[in-house]
Amino acid sequence: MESLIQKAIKRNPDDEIEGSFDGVGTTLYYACPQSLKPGTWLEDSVTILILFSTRRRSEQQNCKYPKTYTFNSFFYGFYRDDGFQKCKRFTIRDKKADIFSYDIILFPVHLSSHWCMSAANFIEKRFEYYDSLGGSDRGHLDLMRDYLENEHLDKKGTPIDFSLWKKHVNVNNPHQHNGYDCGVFSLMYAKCISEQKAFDFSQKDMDYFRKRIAYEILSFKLLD
Amino acid sequence: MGELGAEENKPDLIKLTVKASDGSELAFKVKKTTAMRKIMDSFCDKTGKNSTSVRFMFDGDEIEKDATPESLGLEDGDMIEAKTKQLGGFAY
Repeated sequence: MESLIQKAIKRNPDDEIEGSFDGVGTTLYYACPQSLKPGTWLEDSVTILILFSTRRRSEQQNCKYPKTYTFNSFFYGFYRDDGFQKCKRFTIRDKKADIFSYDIILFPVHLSSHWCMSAANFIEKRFEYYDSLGGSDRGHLDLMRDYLENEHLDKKGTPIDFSLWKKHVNVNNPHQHNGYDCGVFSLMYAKCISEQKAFDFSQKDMDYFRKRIAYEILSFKLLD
Repeated sequence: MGELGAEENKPDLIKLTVKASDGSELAFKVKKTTAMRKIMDSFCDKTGKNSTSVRFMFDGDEIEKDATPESLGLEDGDMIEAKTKQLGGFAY
């Protein structure tokens, strides 16, 4: 693990990484794993790769975790700025994905220079939002609900009933104690949500998780 | 309007527009078989952006550099969005 990461850290950040994740066609640069160096701000490509791999893993037949769909961190911006007319095409293009056949839908949140995580949890009937600094959901859960209502009506032809659902904001989530680990925290929230387990990590574990995630990216596979 | 890998007035050319984060737009005429890489590199050259800090998106997903308008199902007049890379640590 160490040698692979050390070699990647020394590369030019603008160099493209050879190889790819199954099903992720986008070009990957060394800047991506390098954003996992201790003390560094995390970049979007890490979130996209790790969440997409989480989805792929959960779609395998023998997977022990709930089926998880994931959007990328640009989704909320598109939905807020351009509305449903634009976003209704997103799941058609994506191999006609029926997002309502999933147990969990993850929506990563990017706030100018901060990462949070949100999720529609169909098992617990919850709209979930976690900020490692304890901030409010800033309207994201209403946006999520609005999108899911529109998407259901558009693709299924019927309204979806969220009347029993509750908002679940910053419940028992560990916090960051510095100015750079929010991206790793948000990915760890996503991991625990998608594996349906309690948050079992804290600030002291972040450097380990940075290494672990960098390794997952460089080896194109999630660790168990 | 830029022309990439193609001569003008050929029937298989389509017009694609790239919209930058600041709202400005650049149009390109391309063959349906031209690699998207050419459009992305040209956009970055003309706007002075580093290609590793721009995310080219269509229908909510990032575009693969080796994809072509044909493989992506792009049609004449379609718009691609050039979003700025997202970074985050804590402050907002």
